[in-house]
Amino acid sequence: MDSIFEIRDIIEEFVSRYETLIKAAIRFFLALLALSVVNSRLGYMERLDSTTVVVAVSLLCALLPPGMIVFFSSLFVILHCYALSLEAAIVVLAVFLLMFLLYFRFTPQDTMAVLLTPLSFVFGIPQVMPVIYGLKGSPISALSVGFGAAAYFTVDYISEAEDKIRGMKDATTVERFRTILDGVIKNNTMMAYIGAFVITVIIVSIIRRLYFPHAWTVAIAVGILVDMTALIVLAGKFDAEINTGRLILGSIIAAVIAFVYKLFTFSVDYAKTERVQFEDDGYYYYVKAVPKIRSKIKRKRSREPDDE
Amino acid sequence: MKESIDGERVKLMTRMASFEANEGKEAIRICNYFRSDYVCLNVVRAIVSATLSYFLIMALYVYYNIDRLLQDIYTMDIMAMGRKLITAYVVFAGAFGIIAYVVYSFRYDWAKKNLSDYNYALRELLNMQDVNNG
Repeated sequence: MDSIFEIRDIIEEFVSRYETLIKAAIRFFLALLALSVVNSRLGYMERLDSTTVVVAVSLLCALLPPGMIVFFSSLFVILHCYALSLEAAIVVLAVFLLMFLLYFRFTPQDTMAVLLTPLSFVFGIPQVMPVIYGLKGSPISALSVGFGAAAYFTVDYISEAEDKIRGMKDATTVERFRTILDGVIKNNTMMAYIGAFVITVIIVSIIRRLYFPHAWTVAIAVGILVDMTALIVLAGKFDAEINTGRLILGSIIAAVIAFVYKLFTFSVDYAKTERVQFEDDGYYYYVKAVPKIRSKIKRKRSREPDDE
Repeated sequence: MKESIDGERVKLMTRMASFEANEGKEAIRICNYFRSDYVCLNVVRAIVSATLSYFLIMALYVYYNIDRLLQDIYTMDIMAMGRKLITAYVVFAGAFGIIAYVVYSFRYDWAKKNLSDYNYALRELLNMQDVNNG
């Protein structure tokens, strides 16, 4: 266990030393990943479906606040949908606008859930999102993850129904619009996932706040089990299709990721390392303040010279 | 002669600078308003958001049901329909306004508490400076 803490300390030191660069690199790769996934799933507008555009926009995202990755990804989705059909673009734009107007305007810190939840679906580990948001957020974060799942299934439907939408050339605009809106809203699998995610976030968030030993570990374990059970029950209720094998595998990977997340945030929050500047009458101060918590091994090592 | 660096003062100033750079930024921005102004402004914004959302949902509903609505337009009770729509709007925007009132009142109280801790640290810093200056 101590070796894990040692590795964590090395990573923590490295991250705090190159924090600005690493954060920019993470924003760049996240944008690159999100835009590449959007292009591979939709990719109807040729101008956007090019490596140059994706890399250029990702570089821009590296310099901008993280919320801009969500903005550009949404813009890519809407433009691709527009290239497929105007009605699809209207439906997707309406879904995104409603999410922003009704919820994310009030909790901008949770906006990344709209990006990360769909990405977790793409990688086959959607179970990780409700557990992580339950650990880091509050029960209200259930809505963020729920909206993230809705965003994924909206894009997924457009991608799956491409041939159907293209085949409706003779249909009227209203008929096309109705078909797409029906497909987006009346999605039983989406309902099952949203229901399971909401229940999981609330339960994990409540357990994590309780005062008893290993509350975080228990919260993760219970969260994974609740998520699996709720998903199977709701899938049966909504008559939705769930691949049980993938669900179990995804849950195991999600549990591992959640424990790694716990290791970095519960024991030591490297993000709490601060670099501040201020001045008084005599000096300019450039201070780097690092949290005092360190692994047992490190504390032991730092004591060794004194002990000898 | 140049004065030496006071470790305690640096610690205090570091904490204050860290607060100013992080949660303090939001707290200072919020506390620039009076409580009633801040809460009212955000309730109004929430109601504007709710209004836009309501019209967007209505537009989607009308477009979705356009055939049926055009067919029934001459037989439907327009006044009753209007009353229903207005009631739905008032309930929707009202609920949103109430939620916004609760959320932003809570946020203002949080910011005020944080800022009072910061002001306490500021007074402590001034006292240190006074002691140093003799």
